[in-house]
Amino acid sequence: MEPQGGSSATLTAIQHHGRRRGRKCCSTALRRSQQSEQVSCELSAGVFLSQYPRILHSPVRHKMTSTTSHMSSCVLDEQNFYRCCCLLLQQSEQLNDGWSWEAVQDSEEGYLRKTTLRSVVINSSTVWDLEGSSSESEPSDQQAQESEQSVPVALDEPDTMEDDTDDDDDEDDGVCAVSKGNSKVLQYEYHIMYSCSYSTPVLYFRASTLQGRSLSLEEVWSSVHPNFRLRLQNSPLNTISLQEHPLLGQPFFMLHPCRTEEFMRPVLLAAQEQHRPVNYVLSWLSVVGPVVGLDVTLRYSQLHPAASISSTESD
Amino acid sequence: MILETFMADDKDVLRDVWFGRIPTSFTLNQDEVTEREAEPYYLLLPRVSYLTLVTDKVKKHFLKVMRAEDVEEMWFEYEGTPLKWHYPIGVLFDLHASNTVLPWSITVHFKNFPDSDLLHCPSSSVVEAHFMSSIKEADALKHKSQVVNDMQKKDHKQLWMGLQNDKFDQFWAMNRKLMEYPTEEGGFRYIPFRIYQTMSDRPFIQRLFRPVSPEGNVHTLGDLMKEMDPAALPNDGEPKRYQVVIHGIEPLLETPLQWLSEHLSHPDNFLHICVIPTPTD
Repeated sequence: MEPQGGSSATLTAIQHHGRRRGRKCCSTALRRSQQSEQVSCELSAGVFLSQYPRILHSPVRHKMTSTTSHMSSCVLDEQNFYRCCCLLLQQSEQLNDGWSWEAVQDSEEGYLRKTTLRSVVINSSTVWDLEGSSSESEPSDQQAQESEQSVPVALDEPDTMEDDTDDDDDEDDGVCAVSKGNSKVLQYEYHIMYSCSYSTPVLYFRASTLQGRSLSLEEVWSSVHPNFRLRLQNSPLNTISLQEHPLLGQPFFMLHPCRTEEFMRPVLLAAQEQHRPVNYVLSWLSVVGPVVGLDVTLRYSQLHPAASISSTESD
Repeated sequence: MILETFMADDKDVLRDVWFGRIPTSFTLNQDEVTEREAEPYYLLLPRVSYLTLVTDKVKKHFLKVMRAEDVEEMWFEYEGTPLKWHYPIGVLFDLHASNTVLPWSITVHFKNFPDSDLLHCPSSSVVEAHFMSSIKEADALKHKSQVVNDMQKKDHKQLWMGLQNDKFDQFWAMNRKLMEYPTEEGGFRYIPFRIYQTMSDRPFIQRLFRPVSPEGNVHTLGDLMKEMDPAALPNDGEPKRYQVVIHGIEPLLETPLQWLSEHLSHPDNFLHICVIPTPTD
């Protein structure tokens, strides 16, 4: 992949537009997935596809097909991953964006790392199971998560929103009402690694309070933007989950990479048609980062790409 | 794809792998608060399953002598090491306790969950998600995900239910599809494997590796180890310092890797390989 900065501006602009469309897509798909008990990844690709309005009208199939002539150009091999990371690092240094490279034992292998402080509203009393008692358990398909503003959504009637006025839960109609959370400052740590199984980058992250207490999966969920949360939550294989970090061995949250190639393909094909080089890692990051609170500044698009890698630039 | 039929002998191997068991005793951590003394609980653990999937009876047994307010998420430890439930049971045993006296003595905890070491596992759906995620990843390596994506959701469920309910035939009726490959290729695209060793900082080694070289040479277990973890293999003339163990046995290093992947993989379709120090006695 040839690196370049311009496409990320386009992506971020489309993404902002796409968020409003994404919300509508989310609730429709949520109703459908409730009815059909889908456990596959098919629907979840929609939240990313909805960010590229052009693509919704073109026949992009949700399932991966082996269109070999296109696939080879949309696959990120490990060497290119490192090159893209290198370029991103250079640009990050210019922008003081905080990315660093953590190498494994003097080898080429390693990952990009960044820590940030975020002020978020988190609700510690999160999930209510069908019996109505609070627990740390995973949400069942019938339950809703409260939103960042503590407004509960009843899944049976997706268009009804109730105002939260008290702290008691109401077991009868499945609506959860929880107290407004406190605003806390949290430390987030993000790692970008390469998955050789999926030939894509993967985002790992962990979050803790300033006192060092790790956030639970439920607390992380409550800091994900509602537009993303509804969709991701109901696709168990394409969601945020707790995983073992492949290099450090510690629990990290991970955004599952199995659909990355699908949403990257339109980006890469479009760039190829327009003869624009693309930094795969930067473009990918600008899509997945915001889902988990990691913003990619538009200023990346204003930098000249490093002369070392690109050979098609003519300035 | 053209179906590869298994030889009758090979099918026995599949059964032996599936039905492998480890006799285990579960003892309550002595710092847990109990109303009366807790007896140890004995269980035959399936090598190919996961701790949190098969220990409901252990939990029930110890809850009988504890008050509900003293019980949080259950977790397991062996000689001070928290046991990762998301690793297959047989891997945990081979890695930590393979050359010790049976039964395997595991300590049970209900407090102070070590969440910097262990993943939370609040329900079996978490185990299912992890299991299916491994199967998907293995197929991404073997078939670019084509086989697993062509399956319907009920086929995925059948794989999981087969594991959960210990139903060999139900599982393999579906899993055989994941073990097919075009005859002209000679094997899978890449072999799904992970190499574990306790002496390393890394939790495991996992990289791309083909079953057949571009020249057509069949890769063996020895070829894999030489490429991925050469320190595990003895130098010429030196005594063997490490054992390369899969399902509690040491396969010959000359064994073709493709055959191992088809027959000695775990139900998650990965070859889990443990490198452990050779016992000194």
